[in-house]
Amino acid sequence: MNLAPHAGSCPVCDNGLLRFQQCENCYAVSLICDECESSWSDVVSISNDLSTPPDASYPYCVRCQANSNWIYLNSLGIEQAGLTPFVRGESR
Amino acid sequence: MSRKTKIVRTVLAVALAALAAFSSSQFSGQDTAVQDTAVDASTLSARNVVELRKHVGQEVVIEGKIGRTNTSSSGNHFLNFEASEFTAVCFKDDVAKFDSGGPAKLFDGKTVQVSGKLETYRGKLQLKLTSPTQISIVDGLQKSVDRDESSVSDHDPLVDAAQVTYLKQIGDTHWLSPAGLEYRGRDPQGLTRVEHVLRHANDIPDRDGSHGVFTGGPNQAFQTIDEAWKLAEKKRLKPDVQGNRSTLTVSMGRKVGYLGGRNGRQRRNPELRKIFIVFETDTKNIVTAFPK
Repeated sequence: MNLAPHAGSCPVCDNGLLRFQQCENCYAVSLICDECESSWSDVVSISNDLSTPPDASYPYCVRCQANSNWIYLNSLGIEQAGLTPFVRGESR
Repeated sequence: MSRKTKIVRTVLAVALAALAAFSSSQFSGQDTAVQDTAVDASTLSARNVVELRKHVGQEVVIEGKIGRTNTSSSGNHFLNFEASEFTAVCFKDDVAKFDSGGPAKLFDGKTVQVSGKLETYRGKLQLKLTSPTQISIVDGLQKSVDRDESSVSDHDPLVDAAQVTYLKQIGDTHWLSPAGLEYRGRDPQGLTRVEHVLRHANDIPDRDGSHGVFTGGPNQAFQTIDEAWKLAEKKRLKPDVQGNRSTLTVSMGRKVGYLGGRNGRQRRNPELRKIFIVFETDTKNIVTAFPK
Protein backbone atom coordinates (compact mmCIF):
# COMPACT_ATOMS: atom_id res chain seq x y z
CA MET A 1 0.00 0.00 0.00
CA ASN A 2 1.18 3.52 -0.78
CA LEU A 3 0.94 6.33 1.74
CA ALA A 4 -2.66 6.74 2.85
CA PRO A 5 -4.28 8.74 5.65
CA HIS A 6 -5.17 7.00 8.88
CA ALA A 7 -6.80 7.87 12.19
CA GLY A 8 -4.25 6.17 14.42
CA SER A 9 -3.47 2.66 15.61
CA CYS A 10 -6.17 0.07 16.13
CA PRO A 11 -7.03 -0.45 19.83
CA VAL A 12 -8.11 -4.04 19.14
CA CYS A 13 -4.98 -5.50 17.55
CA ASP A 14 -2.38 -2.73 18.05
CA ASN A 15 -0.83 -3.58 14.67
CA GLY A 16 -3.38 -2.08 12.33
CA LEU A 17 -4.05 1.48 11.24
CA LEU A 18 -7.59 2.81 11.12
CA ARG A 19 -8.40 3.74 7.54
CA PHE A 20 -11.18 6.01 6.32
CA GLN A 21 -13.40 3.92 4.09
CA GLN A 22 -16.67 4.71 2.39
CA CYS A 23 -19.48 2.24 1.80
CA GLU A 24 -20.17 1.96 -1.91
CA ASN A 25 -23.91 1.59 -1.29
CA CYS A 26 -24.81 4.25 1.28
CA TYR A 27 -21.62 6.41 1.19
CA ALA A 28 -21.31 6.25 4.98
CA VAL A 29 -17.71 6.56 6.18
CA SER A 30 -16.32 4.12 8.72
CA LEU A 31 -12.89 3.63 10.22
CA ILE A 32 -11.72 0.11 9.37
CA CYS A 33 -8.53 -1.43 10.74
CA ASP A 34 -6.29 -2.51 7.87
CA GLU A 35 -5.00 -5.41 9.99
CA CYS A 36 -7.81 -7.04 12.00
CA GLU A 37 -10.66 -5.38 10.05
CA SER A 38 -12.56 -4.16 13.09
CA SER A 39 -14.87 -1.36 12.01
CA TRP A 40 -16.24 1.75 13.72
CA SER A 41 -19.13 3.57 12.08
CA ASP A 42 -18.85 6.45 14.55
CA VAL A 43 -15.59 8.11 13.57
CA VAL A 44 -15.89 10.79 16.23
CA SER A 45 -16.43 8.39 19.14
CA ILE A 46 -13.51 6.09 18.40
CA SER A 47 -11.24 9.06 17.73
CA ASN A 48 -12.10 10.64 21.05
CA ASP A 49 -12.19 7.42 23.07
CA LEU A 50 -10.05 4.46 22.02
CA SER A 51 -11.95 2.18 24.38
CA THR A 52 -15.02 2.46 22.15
CA PRO A 53 -15.68 -1.08 20.94
CA PRO A 54 -16.01 -1.74 17.20
CA ASP A 55 -19.60 -2.05 16.04
CA ALA A 56 -18.87 -4.23 13.00
CA SER A 57 -16.21 -6.03 11.03
CA TYR A 58 -15.28 -5.60 7.38
CA PRO A 59 -17.17 -5.95 5.05
CA TYR A 60 -20.34 -5.35 7.08
CA CYS A 61 -21.88 -1.89 6.88
CA VAL A 62 -23.83 -0.92 9.98
CA ARG A 63 -25.97 1.56 8.10
CA CYS A 64 -26.81 -0.79 5.20
CA GLN A 65 -27.17 -3.76 7.57
CA ALA A 66 -25.38 -5.85 4.96
CA ASN A 67 -21.97 -6.72 3.62
CA SER A 68 -20.72 -4.04 1.27
CA ASN A 69 -17.86 -2.96 -0.97
CA TRP A 70 -15.70 -0.23 0.53
CA ILE A 71 -13.65 2.51 -1.07
CA TYR A 72 -10.50 3.92 0.52
CA LEU A 73 -10.89 7.66 0.98
CA ASN A 74 -7.97 9.87 0.08
CA SER A 75 -7.29 13.26 1.66
CA LEU A 76 -9.83 15.03 -0.53
CA GLY A 77 -12.54 12.48 0.22
CA ILE A 78 -11.83 12.77 3.93
CA GLU A 79 -11.99 16.55 3.69
CA GLN A 80 -15.30 16.43 1.83
CA ALA A 81 -16.67 14.14 4.53
CA GLY A 82 -15.64 16.73 7.12
CA LEU A 83 -13.30 14.28 8.83
CA THR A 84 -9.90 15.91 8.28
CA PRO A 85 -9.53 16.76 12.01
CA PHE A 86 -9.44 13.03 12.72
CA VAL A 87 -6.47 12.28 10.44
CA ARG A 88 -3.48 11.33 12.61
CA GLY A 89 -0.98 10.66 9.87
CA GLU A 90 -0.18 9.06 6.52
CA SER A 91 1.44 5.68 6.28
CA ARG A 92 1.67 2.49 4.27
CA MET B 1 -2.12 6.29 -41.21
CA SER B 2 0.12 9.34 -41.52
CA ARG B 3 2.04 10.71 -38.53
CA LYS B 4 -0.02 13.90 -38.70
CA THR B 5 -3.30 11.95 -38.59
CA LYS B 6 -2.03 9.93 -35.60
CA ILE B 7 -1.18 13.10 -33.71
CA VAL B 8 -4.60 14.61 -34.44
CA ARG B 9 -6.32 11.40 -33.23
CA THR B 10 -4.23 11.35 -30.08
CA VAL B 11 -5.02 14.99 -29.30
CA LEU B 12 -8.73 14.35 -29.88
CA ALA B 13 -8.68 11.26 -27.64
CA VAL B 14 -6.99 13.17 -24.81
CA ALA B 15 -9.47 16.04 -25.17
CA LEU B 16 -12.42 13.63 -25.09
CA ALA B 17 -11.02 11.87 -22.00
CA ALA B 18 -10.53 15.20 -20.24
CA LEU B 19 -14.09 16.27 -21.16
CA ALA B 20 -15.46 12.94 -19.87
CA ALA B 21 -13.56 13.32 -16.60
CA PHE B 22 -14.82 16.91 -16.24
CA SER B 23 -18.43 15.85 -16.93
CA SER B 24 -18.14 13.01 -14.44
CA SER B 25 -16.87 15.31 -11.72
CA GLN B 26 -19.66 17.79 -12.41
CA PHE B 27 -22.60 15.42 -12.47
CA SER B 28 -21.69 12.39 -10.39
CA GLY B 29 -21.86 13.16 -6.71
CA GLN B 30 -20.87 9.59 -5.90
CA ASP B 31 -17.36 10.01 -7.21
CA THR B 32 -16.38 13.42 -5.98
CA ALA B 33 -14.86 12.00 -2.81
CA VAL B 34 -12.16 10.18 -4.70
CA GLN B 35 -11.48 12.45 -7.67
CA ASP B 36 -8.20 14.11 -6.90
CA THR B 37 -5.76 11.37 -7.71
CA ALA B 38 -7.46 10.63 -11.03
CA VAL B 39 -6.05 13.77 -12.61
CA ASP B 40 -2.42 12.91 -12.07
CA ALA B 41 -2.77 9.12 -12.05
CA SER B 42 -0.18 7.49 -14.28
CA THR B 43 -0.76 4.23 -16.06
CA LEU B 44 -1.71 1.44 -13.67
CA SER B 45 -0.80 -2.19 -14.12
CA ALA B 46 -3.72 -4.61 -14.46
CA ARG B 47 -1.78 -7.07 -12.33
CA ASN B 48 -1.52 -4.73 -9.38
CA VAL B 49 -4.99 -5.39 -7.98
CA VAL B 50 -4.14 -3.83 -4.64
CA GLU B 51 -3.32 -0.53 -6.34
CA LEU B 52 -6.28 -0.75 -8.71
CA ARG B 53 -8.72 -1.12 -5.82
CA LYS B 54 -7.58 2.23 -4.50
CA HIS B 55 -8.75 3.88 -7.74
CA VAL B 56 -12.30 2.51 -7.87
CA GLY B 57 -14.62 5.32 -8.92
CA GLN B 58 -11.86 7.21 -10.69
CA GLU B 59 -10.96 7.79 -14.34
CA VAL B 60 -7.87 5.64 -14.93
CA VAL B 61 -5.54 4.26 -17.57
CA ILE B 62 -4.75 0.58 -17.07
CA GLU B 63 -2.22 -1.47 -18.98
CA GLY B 64 -1.96 -5.23 -19.17
CA LYS B 65 -2.13 -8.33 -21.33
CA ILE B 66 -5.49 -9.80 -22.29
CA GLY B 67 -5.24 -13.41 -21.14
CA ARG B 68 -8.67 -14.56 -22.24
CA THR B 69 -11.69 -13.13 -23.99
CA ASN B 70 -15.23 -14.36 -24.22
CA THR B 71 -18.57 -13.35 -25.64
CA SER B 72 -21.77 -13.92 -23.70
CA SER B 73 -24.90 -15.38 -25.26
CA SER B 74 -26.41 -11.89 -25.16
CA GLY B 75 -23.51 -10.49 -27.20
CA ASN B 76 -21.48 -8.73 -24.54
CA HIS B 77 -17.68 -8.94 -24.92
CA PHE B 78 -15.36 -9.53 -21.97
CA LEU B 79 -11.60 -8.91 -21.97
CA ASN B 80 -10.04 -10.71 -19.00
CA PHE B 81 -6.60 -9.45 -18.08
CA GLU B 82 -3.83 -11.95 -17.41
CA ALA B 83 -2.99 -12.63 -13.72
CA SER B 84 -5.68 -10.23 -12.58
CA GLU B 85 -9.31 -10.08 -11.57
CA PHE B 86 -9.69 -6.96 -13.73
CA THR B 87 -12.01 -7.20 -16.74
CA ALA B 88 -12.92 -4.74 -19.47
CA VAL B 89 -16.49 -5.25 -20.63
CA CYS B 90 -18.08 -4.03 -23.86
CA PHE B 91 -21.85 -4.32 -23.93
CA LYS B 92 -23.67 -5.54 -27.02
CA ASP B 93 -24.83 -2.09 -28.15
CA ASP B 94 -21.26 -0.79 -28.14
CA VAL B 95 -19.62 -3.81 -29.82
CA ALA B 96 -20.66 -2.57 -33.26
CA LYS B 97 -18.53 0.56 -32.79
CA PHE B 98 -15.43 -1.62 -33.03
CA ASP B 99 -13.99 -3.20 -36.19
CA SER B 100 -15.26 -6.58 -37.32
CA GLY B 101 -15.08 -9.23 -34.64
CA GLY B 102 -15.43 -6.68 -31.87
CA PRO B 103 -13.11 -6.26 -28.87
CA ALA B 104 -13.05 -9.96 -27.99
CA LYS B 105 -11.42 -10.81 -31.32
CA LEU B 106 -9.41 -7.63 -31.86
CA PHE B 107 -7.56 -7.66 -28.55
CA ASP B 108 -7.30 -11.34 -27.57
CA GLY B 109 -3.72 -12.00 -26.39
CA LYS B 110 -2.67 -8.39 -26.93
CA THR B 111 -1.10 -6.05 -24.43
CA VAL B 112 -3.37 -3.03 -24.28
CA GLN B 113 -4.07 0.19 -22.48
CA VAL B 114 -7.68 0.90 -21.53
CA SER B 115 -9.01 4.13 -20.13
CA GLY B 116 -12.24 4.99 -18.38
CA LYS B 117 -13.94 4.82 -15.04
CA LEU B 118 -12.84 1.93 -12.84
CA GLU B 119 -15.78 0.22 -11.15
CA THR B 120 -16.60 -2.97 -9.32
CA TYR B 121 -19.22 -5.51 -10.30
CA ARG B 122 -20.02 -8.21 -7.76
CA GLY B 123 -16.78 -7.29 -6.02
CA LYS B 124 -14.61 -7.68 -9.13
CA LEU B 125 -12.83 -4.83 -10.87
CA GLN B 126 -14.25 -3.77 -14.20
CA LEU B 127 -14.12 -0.99 -16.73
CA LYS B 128 -16.80 -0.40 -19.37
CA LEU B 129 -15.64 0.02 -22.95
CA THR B 130 -18.14 2.20 -24.78
CA SER B 131 -15.83 3.55 -27.48
CA PRO B 132 -12.78 2.32 -29.46
CA THR B 133 -10.95 5.45 -28.29
CA GLN B 134 -10.73 3.87 -24.83
CA ILE B 135 -8.45 1.01 -25.87
CA SER B 136 -5.19 0.75 -27.76
CA ILE B 137 -2.63 -1.97 -28.36
CA VAL B 138 0.71 -1.23 -26.72
CA ASP B 139 2.69 -4.42 -27.33
CA GLY B 140 6.34 -3.64 -26.76
CA LEU B 141 5.60 -1.04 -24.10
CA GLN B 142 4.79 -3.55 -21.34
CA LYS B 143 8.22 -3.12 -19.81
CA SER B 144 7.36 0.37 -18.66
CA VAL B 145 4.64 -0.98 -16.41
CA ASP B 146 6.79 -3.91 -15.28
CA ARG B 147 9.41 -1.42 -14.23
CA ASP B 148 6.82 0.55 -12.28
CA GLU B 149 5.76 -2.64 -10.51
CA SER B 150 9.29 -3.64 -9.59
CA SER B 151 9.94 -0.20 -8.16
CA VAL B 152 6.78 -0.54 -6.08
CA SER B 153 7.86 -3.97 -4.85
CA ASP B 154 11.21 -2.51 -3.80
CA HIS B 155 9.26 -0.59 -1.20
CA ASP B 156 6.52 -3.12 -0.54
CA PRO B 157 7.60 -6.21 1.35
CA LEU B 158 4.69 -8.28 0.08
CA VAL B 159 5.75 -11.91 -0.30
CA ASP B 160 4.31 -13.97 -3.14
CA ALA B 161 1.76 -16.47 -1.81
CA ALA B 162 3.18 -19.04 -4.23
CA GLN B 163 6.20 -19.33 -1.92
CA VAL B 164 4.00 -20.84 0.77
CA THR B 165 4.18 -24.59 0.31
CA TYR B 166 3.14 -25.35 3.88
CA LEU B 167 -0.50 -24.58 3.06
CA LYS B 168 -2.67 -26.47 0.62
CA GLN B 169 -4.40 -24.22 -1.89
CA ILE B 170 -7.93 -25.43 -2.51
CA GLY B 171 -9.33 -22.47 -4.44
CA ASP B 172 -8.35 -19.17 -6.02
CA THR B 173 -8.46 -17.41 -2.67
CA HIS B 174 -8.71 -20.35 -0.30
CA TRP B 175 -5.93 -22.20 1.55
CA LEU B 176 -5.99 -24.86 4.24
CA SER B 177 -3.32 -25.53 6.87
CA PRO B 178 -2.39 -28.93 8.32
CA ALA B 179 -4.06 -27.83 11.61
CA GLY B 180 -7.29 -27.18 9.72
CA LEU B 181 -7.03 -23.39 9.71
CA GLU B 182 -8.59 -21.75 6.68
CA TYR B 183 -7.34 -18.68 4.88
CA ARG B 184 -10.12 -17.59 2.53
CA GLY B 185 -11.31 -14.47 0.76
CA ARG B 186 -9.69 -11.08 0.53
CA ASP B 187 -8.97 -8.17 2.84
CA PRO B 188 -10.10 -4.56 2.25
CA GLN B 189 -7.02 -3.91 0.11
CA GLY B 190 -7.79 -6.85 -2.15
CA LEU B 191 -5.04 -9.05 -0.73
CA THR B 192 -5.79 -12.72 -0.16
CA ARG B 193 -5.70 -13.85 3.47
CA VAL B 194 -2.36 -15.54 2.81
CA GLU B 195 -0.91 -12.35 1.33
CA HIS B 196 -2.36 -10.42 4.25
CA VAL B 197 -0.54 -12.60 6.79
CA LEU B 198 2.60 -12.53 4.65
CA ARG B 199 2.87 -8.77 5.23
CA HIS B 200 4.24 -9.94 8.56
CA ALA B 201 6.97 -12.05 6.95
CA ASN B 202 9.00 -8.85 6.58
CA ASP B 203 9.34 -5.59 8.43
CA ILE B 204 7.79 -2.37 7.13
CA PRO B 205 10.10 0.04 8.97
CA ASP B 206 8.31 3.19 7.84
CA ARG B 207 4.83 2.00 8.77
CA ASP B 208 3.30 4.01 11.58
CA GLY B 209 2.80 2.16 14.87
CA SER B 210 3.73 -1.45 15.56
CA HIS B 211 4.26 -4.23 13.06
CA GLY B 212 4.91 -7.76 14.34
CA VAL B 213 7.33 -9.67 12.11
CA PHE B 214 7.71 -13.45 12.00
CA THR B 215 11.15 -14.98 12.15
CA GLY B 216 11.90 -17.91 9.86
CA GLY B 217 10.29 -16.87 6.58
CA PRO B 218 6.90 -17.37 4.94
CA ASN B 219 6.40 -21.11 5.54
CA GLN B 220 7.60 -20.90 9.13
CA ALA B 221 5.05 -18.13 9.73
CA PHE B 222 2.13 -20.40 8.91
CA GLN B 223 3.67 -23.29 10.83
CA THR B 224 3.97 -21.04 13.88
CA ILE B 225 0.32 -19.97 13.56
CA ASP B 226 -0.75 -23.63 13.41
CA GLU B 227 1.36 -24.34 16.46
CA ALA B 228 -0.17 -21.41 18.33
CA TRP B 229 -3.69 -22.53 17.45
CA LYS B 230 -3.05 -26.09 18.66
CA LEU B 231 -1.48 -24.73 21.84
CA ALA B 232 -4.54 -22.56 22.46
CA GLU B 233 -6.78 -25.60 22.03
CA LYS B 234 -4.60 -27.67 24.34
CA LYS B 235 -4.60 -24.98 27.02
CA ARG B 236 -8.28 -24.24 26.38
CA LEU B 237 -7.60 -20.55 26.01
CA LYS B 238 -10.75 -18.49 25.88
CA PRO B 239 -10.89 -16.18 22.86
CA ASP B 240 -11.85 -12.54 23.22
CA VAL B 241 -15.10 -12.34 21.24
CA GLN B 242 -16.28 -9.11 19.65
CA GLY B 243 -19.22 -9.89 17.41
CA ASN B 244 -18.18 -12.04 14.50
CA ARG B 245 -14.47 -11.48 15.17
CA SER B 246 -12.53 -13.25 17.91
CA THR B 247 -8.93 -12.94 18.99
CA LEU B 248 -6.45 -15.20 20.76
CA THR B 249 -3.12 -14.22 22.28
CA VAL B 250 -0.92 -17.28 22.69
CA SER B 251 2.36 -17.30 24.62
CA MET B 252 4.78 -19.48 22.69
CA GLY B 253 7.57 -19.68 25.29
CA ARG B 254 10.23 -18.68 22.79
CA LYS B 255 11.04 -15.95 20.33
CA VAL B 256 8.69 -16.15 17.34
CA GLY B 257 9.31 -12.74 15.87
CA TYR B 258 10.28 -9.18 16.51
CA LEU B 259 8.62 -5.79 16.71
CA GLY B 260 8.87 -3.85 13.46
CA GLY B 261 7.29 -0.70 12.10
CA ARG B 262 8.18 2.75 13.42
CA ASN B 263 7.57 1.68 17.02
CA GLY B 264 9.86 -1.31 16.56
CA ARG B 265 12.61 0.80 15.04
CA GLN B 266 12.44 3.27 17.91
CA ARG B 267 12.72 0.40 20.39
CA ARG B 268 15.48 -1.41 18.47
CA ASN B 269 13.21 -4.21 17.31
CA PRO B 270 12.67 -6.17 20.54
CA GLU B 271 11.82 -9.85 20.27
CA LEU B 272 8.23 -11.03 20.45
CA ARG B 273 7.16 -14.29 22.09
CA LYS B 274 3.38 -14.33 21.55
CA ILE B 275 1.17 -14.95 18.54
CA PHE B 276 -1.96 -12.85 18.10
CA ILE B 277 -4.66 -14.53 16.01
CA VAL B 278 -7.81 -12.87 14.67
CA PHE B 279 -10.43 -15.24 13.34
CA GLU B 280 -14.11 -15.33 12.50
CA THR B 281 -15.99 -16.27 15.66
CA ASP B 282 -16.74 -20.00 16.05
CA THR B 283 -14.80 -20.91 12.90
CA LYS B 284 -11.23 -21.68 11.90
CA ASN B 285 -11.27 -18.89 9.30
CA ILE B 286 -8.21 -16.77 9.93
CA VAL B 287 -8.46 -13.02 9.36
CA THR B 288 -4.87 -12.28 10.35
CA ALA B 289 -2.14 -13.49 12.69
CA PHE B 290 1.21 -12.05 13.71
CA PRO B 291 3.79 -11.99 16.50
CA LYS B 292 2.95 -9.70 19.37
